[in-house]
Amino acid sequence: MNQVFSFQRYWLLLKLDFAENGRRNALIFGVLFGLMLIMMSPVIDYRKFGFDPIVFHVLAYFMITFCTSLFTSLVFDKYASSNTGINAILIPASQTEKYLAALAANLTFATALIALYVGMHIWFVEILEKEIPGIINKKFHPSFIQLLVYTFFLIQSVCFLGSIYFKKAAYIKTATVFFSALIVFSLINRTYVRNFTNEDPSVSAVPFGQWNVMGRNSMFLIEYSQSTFLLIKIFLVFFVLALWYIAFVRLKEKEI
Amino acid sequence: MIHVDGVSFGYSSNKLLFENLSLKLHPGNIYGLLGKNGAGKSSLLRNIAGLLYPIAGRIEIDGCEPRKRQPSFLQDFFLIPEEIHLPSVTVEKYIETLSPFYPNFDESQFRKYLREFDMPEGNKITDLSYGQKKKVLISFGLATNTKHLIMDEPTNGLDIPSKSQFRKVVSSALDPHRIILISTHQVRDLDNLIDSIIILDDSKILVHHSLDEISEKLRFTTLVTAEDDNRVLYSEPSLKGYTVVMENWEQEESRVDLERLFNAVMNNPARIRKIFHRP
Repeated sequence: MNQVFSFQRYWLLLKLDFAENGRRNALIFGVLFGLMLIMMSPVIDYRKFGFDPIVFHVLAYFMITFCTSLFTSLVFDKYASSNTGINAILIPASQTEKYLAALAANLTFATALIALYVGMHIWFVEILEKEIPGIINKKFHPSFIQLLVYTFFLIQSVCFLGSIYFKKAAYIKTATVFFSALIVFSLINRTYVRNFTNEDPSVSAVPFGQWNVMGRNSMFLIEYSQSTFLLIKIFLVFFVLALWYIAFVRLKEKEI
Repeated sequence: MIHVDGVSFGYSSNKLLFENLSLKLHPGNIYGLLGKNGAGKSSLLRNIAGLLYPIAGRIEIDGCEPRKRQPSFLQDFFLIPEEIHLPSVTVEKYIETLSPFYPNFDESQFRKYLREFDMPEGNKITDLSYGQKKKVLISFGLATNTKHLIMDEPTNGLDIPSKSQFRKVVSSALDPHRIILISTHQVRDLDNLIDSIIILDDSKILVHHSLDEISEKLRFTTLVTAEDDNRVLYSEPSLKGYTVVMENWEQEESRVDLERLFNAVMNNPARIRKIFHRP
């Protein structure tokens, strides 16, 4: 018998997870879908607002990112809780299978939600464009959508690792570490940009993003070359994979 | 076979719960693990299950190390913990999703045990009382037909009729390839069920013998007076005089009274050790 991985056991674990958590997950998904609908549909009534209602789409993104990260931070909860831990640990499956089942369940939820978000954004904007022909294109730029998706998965993978890395108050500790790292990284990036531009205050940049050069009446964007941008994307993918791997190593260390 | 070899364990290295503990459990037996509260019964079971790890020594179950928790080992091992948790699904869904992990699971056996426990059918597990949930888990554990079945305080939460049903059901589930180890501090719940007893106290095993060996060495009877009889290890007043546990010099047969045995062992650990180590 293969002690590390068997498709049959893995499939059984997925079925078990679905039976135990499927209804709860569907309920959370339904609530988030409802909230997205409430937040994203007003864009159709574009004229009623004194501001650009596309901002609600950005808010909806923050909402699903936050809620999914909460969901992700509970992914290993059943192993940590004294009530459920013994049963979960003694299920006849390997650590690898248990880890992959948790990851698959989490990814399914997160992917479905972000796909729904992107789909709803495109759908509502297309309805708006039919309603008001000639309106300025409100659809997010494909590179911005990519950025949203990458950031979404980056945050989920950080929470995934945090859920197994920290024993208590995992979500708060993960958020603290994440935002601290973000601040440090942004400061390093800012220092780099300032040094590069001889302290020019008109230039600003976010990590891995384009540089913004503010003129008196204009703004220029300095983008990375295609190949550099591709390397950044590959780096981010590997970063996410590395976080998942560290989570697996941590799971083994904790001998769950 | 479950082989615990020189195992020491404690939650801190300064205070060990048990030290250099060794025992061998053989298939075809129902073992009762007894001890006072805090003696380390649950910790020993969790060490055997591979949920906790010994500080020293080694545990082997049919050649496997439980701490590795390999799927092949877990397929043949079932633990019913003291505090149980069952998912919020129907009993049918529970067996549909969990039983495939245990190759020897027998659904008809499971249904039979549920019937013997007078369990209603088709209920959602969350709608069941604590005692009923425990019955579901006990029935499931027995029906997995794993070679090793460990129960930690299984009768906690069971009502009086259920306790006798429990004894009936568990004794019917024993087969020559199976080891059943039951830990409890409710000694009477194991009456007429176990065939071997392990008593744990003060970080040591005081008794690890079959009931046959115990009844060979000790006699459980009633005496008019228990004083001045140096055979008596333990006595308590009763209507007819004194109910006693005494050395069985005359080799008379008597039924082992687990509660009095336990008290006798607790009161005279040194003498008990001497009696059972006498050639």
